[in-house]
Amino acid sequence: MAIESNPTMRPEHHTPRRYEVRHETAYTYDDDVTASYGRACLRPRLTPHQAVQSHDISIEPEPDVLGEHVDFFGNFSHYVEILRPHQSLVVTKRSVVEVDWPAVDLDELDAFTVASAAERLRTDPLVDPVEAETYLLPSPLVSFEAEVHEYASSHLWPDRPLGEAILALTRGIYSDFRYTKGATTTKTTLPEIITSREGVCQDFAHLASACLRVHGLPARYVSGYIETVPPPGKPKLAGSDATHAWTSVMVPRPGGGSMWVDLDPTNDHLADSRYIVTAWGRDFRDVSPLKGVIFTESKKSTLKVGVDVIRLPD
Amino acid sequence: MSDELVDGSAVRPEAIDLAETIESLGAAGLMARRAAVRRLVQDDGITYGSGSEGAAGRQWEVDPLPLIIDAAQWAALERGLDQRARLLDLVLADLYGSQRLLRERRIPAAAVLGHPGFLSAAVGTRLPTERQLFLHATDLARSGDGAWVVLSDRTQAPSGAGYAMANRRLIARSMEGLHRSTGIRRLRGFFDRMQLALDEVAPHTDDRPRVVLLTPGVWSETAFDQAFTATLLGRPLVQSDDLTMRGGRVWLRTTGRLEPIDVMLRRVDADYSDSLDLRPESRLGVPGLVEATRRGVVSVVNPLGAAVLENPALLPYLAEVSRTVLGEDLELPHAETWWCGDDVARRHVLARLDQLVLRPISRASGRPHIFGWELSAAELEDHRRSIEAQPWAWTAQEPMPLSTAPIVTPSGLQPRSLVLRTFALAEGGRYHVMPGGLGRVATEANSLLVTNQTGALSKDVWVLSSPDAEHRERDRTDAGELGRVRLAPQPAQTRGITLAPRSAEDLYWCGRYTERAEATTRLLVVADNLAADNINRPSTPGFSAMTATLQAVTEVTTVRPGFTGVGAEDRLAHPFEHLRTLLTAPDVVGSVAFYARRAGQTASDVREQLSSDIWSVLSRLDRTLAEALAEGSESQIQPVGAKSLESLLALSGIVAEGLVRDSTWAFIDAGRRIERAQVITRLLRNTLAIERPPIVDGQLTEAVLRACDSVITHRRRMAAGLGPATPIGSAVDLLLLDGTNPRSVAYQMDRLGEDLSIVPDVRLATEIREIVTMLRAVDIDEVCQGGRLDLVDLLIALEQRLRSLADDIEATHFVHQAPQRSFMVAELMGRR
Repeated sequence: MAIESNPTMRPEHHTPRRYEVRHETAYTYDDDVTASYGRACLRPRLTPHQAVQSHDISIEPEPDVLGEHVDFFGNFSHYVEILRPHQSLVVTKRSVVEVDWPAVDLDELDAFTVASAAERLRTDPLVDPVEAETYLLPSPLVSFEAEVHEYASSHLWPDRPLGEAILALTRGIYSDFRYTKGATTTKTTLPEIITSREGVCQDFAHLASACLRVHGLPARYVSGYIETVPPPGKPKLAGSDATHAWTSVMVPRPGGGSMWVDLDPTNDHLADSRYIVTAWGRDFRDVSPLKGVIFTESKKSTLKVGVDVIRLPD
Repeated sequence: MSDELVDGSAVRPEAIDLAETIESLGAAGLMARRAAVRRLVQDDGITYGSGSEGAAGRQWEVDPLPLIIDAAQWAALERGLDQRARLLDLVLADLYGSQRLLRERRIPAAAVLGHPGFLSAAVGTRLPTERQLFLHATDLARSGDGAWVVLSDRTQAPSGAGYAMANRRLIARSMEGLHRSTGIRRLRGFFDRMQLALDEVAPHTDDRPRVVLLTPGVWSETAFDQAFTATLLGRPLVQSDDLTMRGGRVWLRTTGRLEPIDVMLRRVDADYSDSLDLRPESRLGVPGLVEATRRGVVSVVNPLGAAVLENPALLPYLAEVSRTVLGEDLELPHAETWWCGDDVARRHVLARLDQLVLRPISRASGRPHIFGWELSAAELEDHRRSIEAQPWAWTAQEPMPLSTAPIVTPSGLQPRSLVLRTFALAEGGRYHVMPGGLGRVATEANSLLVTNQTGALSKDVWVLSSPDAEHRERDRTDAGELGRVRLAPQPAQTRGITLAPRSAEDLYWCGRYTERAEATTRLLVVADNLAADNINRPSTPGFSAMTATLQAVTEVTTVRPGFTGVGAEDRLAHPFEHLRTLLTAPDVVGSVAFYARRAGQTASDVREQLSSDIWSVLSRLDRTLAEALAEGSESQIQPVGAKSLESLLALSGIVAEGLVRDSTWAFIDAGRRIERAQVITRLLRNTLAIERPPIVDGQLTEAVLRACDSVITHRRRMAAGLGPATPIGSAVDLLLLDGTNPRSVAYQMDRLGEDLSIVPDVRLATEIREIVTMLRAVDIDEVCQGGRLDLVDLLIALEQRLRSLADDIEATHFVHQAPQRSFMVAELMGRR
């Protein structure tokens, strides 16, 4: 394991551990909602680094229909239908996961350049073209404007070694952009974000994906959580965690085929065992934790989200 | 370049009869036929396109000369179309199933996944039938060597089959001789077959499946095609607001209850069909529809995502895919096509950009066809850059010379580029091609572009019967089999028992508007008559009766200022112009022309519910009033009013005699009854409820009775000494209480009660009974005494009861769903 080429790597974060995640989403409306149709992407998926020990979703009011299927991206997707009039909707998820996320060997990846990796993924018969192209094409929130090409070229270029390029992109976005809550909405475009140089995790994940895709590397948007630690001496507050989003890039597996490397430009390092995956897709719209359509005369609603990521004793 | 009528200098053998007809009609005869077609189009209310709300669609345009295809040629084309449908069906099933064609790299994944018609949310959904592609439309052109060549495939929600049928009916009437002497394959069977196909594609149900046609609404460009198709299929035309998701399945909201839907023939683009899983901003679909299809409780056809087959990037790979999945060589050629996502193809395209037709893979992204040779150097460079930036999004094709067909123009026959749209339908595991189609020709000479958007002219397509018996045998078998379809009992919904609240509302208002137009016309005719007799005889009783009638016109029509209020003096002195306005000015709210137009609009919103006879009557009414408006002060109210009344009575007749007594009829009739009751009440209150000298009263009474078409009855009764002794009392009795007079309020209440019992509505029946009870308690002689103050009170009370009854009908039966809002929770993790 080449720690020297990745100064952000901390061996203590790559040990196996267990987490409990509690995630509550509560809407209140100022008038009756007569029908509510929702899609929830909350049940954590299995990954090479993550096993799910238990999982539960509860919804108040009791849904008339709660359906589940595995979507095109391999995520668990819930259909929620509530037909009794209600003024509040609370969706609570609880899961216990085991995470064991080893460090990535960036030196090994440096055997490829950005361009040679892209070419390998395109032509290697062991790579599934559906998977690769799904995450290579632009998507509504991962668009390929001139600004995106220009920004991408400040960290990625065809003959840059692959491992170096991935880390440089992660660290580059971290230092080029300010984290500003409320600076963007789900409708803000990448050129706007590149111009304003601020955003939240969702924006940085989209930007990193776009930079990788324009260089021919399939990149997906990952939705999940990260364990946080309270400031020294302070207790951890209930509900103080949040959902998180980062990027995962497809790279060639040295013996053939492909694998995925997860990078977190919001936090200046690659993913490790503190990262809990819920779902992935082309961009946020594919994996929004909860979205839906309501029928109501209500003009206003308030949203409260509380997340707790609790490390369980080994 | 080839032509559909002549081959070189000789007339094509299949078109000899047509050529003879052209010859014998001559230029003037042909123009007369063209005019006849136009009139029929107007009478039938056939439109295409619509700008925005309120703007009526353009008239559909049809050339009188049909396109003729002989039996042998058609047989070859049919084989090719059948193969193409089978092939695309397998491709569709694969793309939303195992995706082997992509994984085995027989079709490039980027060409498919990058196409907006590919809906990842629909992956894993399937129709219960073997065939996944329900309806396949193909646009074809004939190349220089006479072979039919595919221009594009239409699989999103193909339009045009209804127009093809409409064209056949138009041309059969306007070219009657030729139509009768030519052996032509019939189109009607295609729609009967579609009924079978729709039933077959339903998820398993115990009952006969319930089928609806989902339309984006009356402002859709092809609204006529949709409504006419629904009529031909005998299935309801529904919109978003008519549908609701409950318990994971789709239901039709009807005025009585919810009806589960098994099959939805979709005319809303797939991405607009579900605001939950597809476009959140869409209000044209049903949130949860994708989920319902995944659960297999509703079959949507064409399936959500079928538009992926419209992608021209598939073309370069189809021949090879056909050999792989069908083991057959592709029969129908298409223009040579390159997909720019392929490196070799892209180099070829970029080297010949100025000689090729550029086609973005998505029709949504601007112009569907860009002719390289029409581009400037700078534009070529722009397109080169676009292609290099997103190569997967572009294809290029060799240009295709289109064959021409003659059209009738004021300057003789002119050749125009021709495109043929064909339709293939999956039923019983195989594809059935409509024996005919929709011919479309460019409006401009030398144009290669034929699209309805730019205003194409259409042609009826005649496929000649084969002299050999093979297909006739098949047609016969079909006729037997399909005849049973037509005779089979329809599920409850098509008997009209289930009616969407929106349709019920349109029917009800159609009834109200027609009645209002009729009542206003009668009143205007009476007022005009009185004015003509008395305008120059001031201080006579006739003059007073005239004034009272004119004032009542204003109170009843509520068009102000009028014969009361500001400027009334002037108008009373010169009443004719204002009366003409009230009859003919469509932009004056309250005029006959205004209500006639509203009636037409509401009727066309529920076109599929109504007899097609009403369109020619409505358009005659429209013409009568428009001509009078154009004549201005030259026009006379009496003849125009009489002509208008004729149309309005014809309309009532069609409704009364042409509709079964189901809820469709009940809502039209309810609208008419409530309106008539209100008008009578208002008219009485503004005329006979005010006491005047007896001699004026006498003339006014006669005017009111005339306006209510009850004068004869009144005279007979007075002569026979029946009913109340005074003329006033008798008139009020006749118009309010007499349950045998079809022009009385009591009669309207009886009929309304019957209408609501059909709907059915028990609660409102009580409300009606209360009104009837209130009327029965009235002693006419008593209320007509003492300055008629009791009569005024009675009429005011009655008017309030009627208004609240109307409000209750609306609130009970025309309930719209609460507004729809979307939400999406963002992810906002802070930096650690």
